[in-house]
Amino acid sequence: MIENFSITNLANIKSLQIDNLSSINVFTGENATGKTMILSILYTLSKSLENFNRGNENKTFKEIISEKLYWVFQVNKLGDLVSKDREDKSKHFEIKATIDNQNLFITFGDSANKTVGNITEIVENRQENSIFIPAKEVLSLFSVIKTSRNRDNVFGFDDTYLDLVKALEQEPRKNYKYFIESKKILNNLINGKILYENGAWFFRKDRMKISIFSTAEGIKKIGIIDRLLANGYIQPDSIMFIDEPESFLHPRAVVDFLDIIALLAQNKIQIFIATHSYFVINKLMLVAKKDNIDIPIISLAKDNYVIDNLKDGLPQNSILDTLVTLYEDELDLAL
Amino acid sequence: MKIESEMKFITDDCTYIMEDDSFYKKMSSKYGTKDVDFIIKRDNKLLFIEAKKSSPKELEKYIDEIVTKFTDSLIIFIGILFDRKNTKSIIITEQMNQTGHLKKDIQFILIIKNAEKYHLIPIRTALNNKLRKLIQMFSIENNVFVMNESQAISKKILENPNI
Repeated sequence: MIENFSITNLANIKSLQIDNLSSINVFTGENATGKTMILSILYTLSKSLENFNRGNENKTFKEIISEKLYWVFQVNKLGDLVSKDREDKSKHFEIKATIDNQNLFITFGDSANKTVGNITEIVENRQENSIFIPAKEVLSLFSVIKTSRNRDNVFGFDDTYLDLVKALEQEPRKNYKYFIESKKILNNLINGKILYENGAWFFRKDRMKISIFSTAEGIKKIGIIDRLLANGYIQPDSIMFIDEPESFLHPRAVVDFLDIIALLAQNKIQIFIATHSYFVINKLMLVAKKDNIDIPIISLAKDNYVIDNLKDGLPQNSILDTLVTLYEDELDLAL
Repeated sequence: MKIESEMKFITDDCTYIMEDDSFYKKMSSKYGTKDVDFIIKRDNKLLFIEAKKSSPKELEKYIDEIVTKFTDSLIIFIGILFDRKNTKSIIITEQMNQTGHLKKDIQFILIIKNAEKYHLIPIRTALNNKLRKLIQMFSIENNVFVMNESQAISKKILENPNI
């Protein structure tokens, strides 16, 4: 579990410190305020911890995280990730985090090329998998992602996509005891499941097998979660990073999808969500109240941020402000 | 001026308060008929206004009650303007008692004194859904609104305490 973190000078994010992270955590804000970036950097950290010392891997943690940063953010040099001030003076990026009770620290300057600077030297690896669910679906791009990144090693689809593709390839386990209830809800939601056969994805509904290219985006999105639960990639103590769960889903499906997310959180999976959606925020507020859990919501603006707890109700933020402004415009027209 | 749900409503010759009418009192006690707090003529509009002190605790019950108030009030008001025997008003002003008003745009407005602005939108959606039949019958599309005290002050439905 990621217990807390702080970031300094990462692209648009000058300074951010979040303590007391919970089982579900939400980032919201206007475009280009860094929501996805925060999810990506946290994913990079947790994934690097997993890859460290796994199997016969003999790279140092510094080597692993440097490589992961390069392939997740796909920058020419790592220093390009560092914020610059108006005078273009050099700064240092820094991230501190506590993950599974161990304190991590990474820093590098804007001249860093392919390797980070100072870093926590001794770390213990994480056993459980982390996964990043991007806003775009991956099933219909499956072979393109594999080819561009796995074989050709070219920029285009970052490592969050590649890792997801690899995770999805794993076959479902028989008699897998976890998440039976969640899988039932997921199957009911899309009325079928996705299958991987002979290198191609299908959606199976009753006896029909439909090509993934003719399958609705929303079904693909939900099908991905179903597959990751069925093949055991997501397990208790996993961390899920979900970018814009609302994309491609009808608000009703978003609400059902978040019920599953709440169920996963109850089963010790930590969730990080970046969203623009009123429905997502509103539904998570209800989850927080019903399950009596803290759900921190971090509303990011250009130069600052505000932390609220959805258990205390809907916070004031730009999404809700926009809704109110639109409604008041309508009132002005009518009265 | 009249106080309802702890809010000061601006009243004048273009305001009709149904609950002050004797026929309504009888109808209410005998049949349980419900009324809105104010019917106001403003420019080319008829506003049916209901006031509440706070947001709903039980949404469905709250919305059902308001829908009944809007529905009963609209039907009774039509009865008044057409001079029906059982809805003869002894208090309605000449300004309000004109059949021509039935050609005006009708707006249903719920004012909730202590509501957060964010809460108004879902309440309005629920109200719109429940009023769908009446909205269709009387062409009230896009004319159901829920506002809080400060918005009602800015729309000059309530007195401005700072003036």
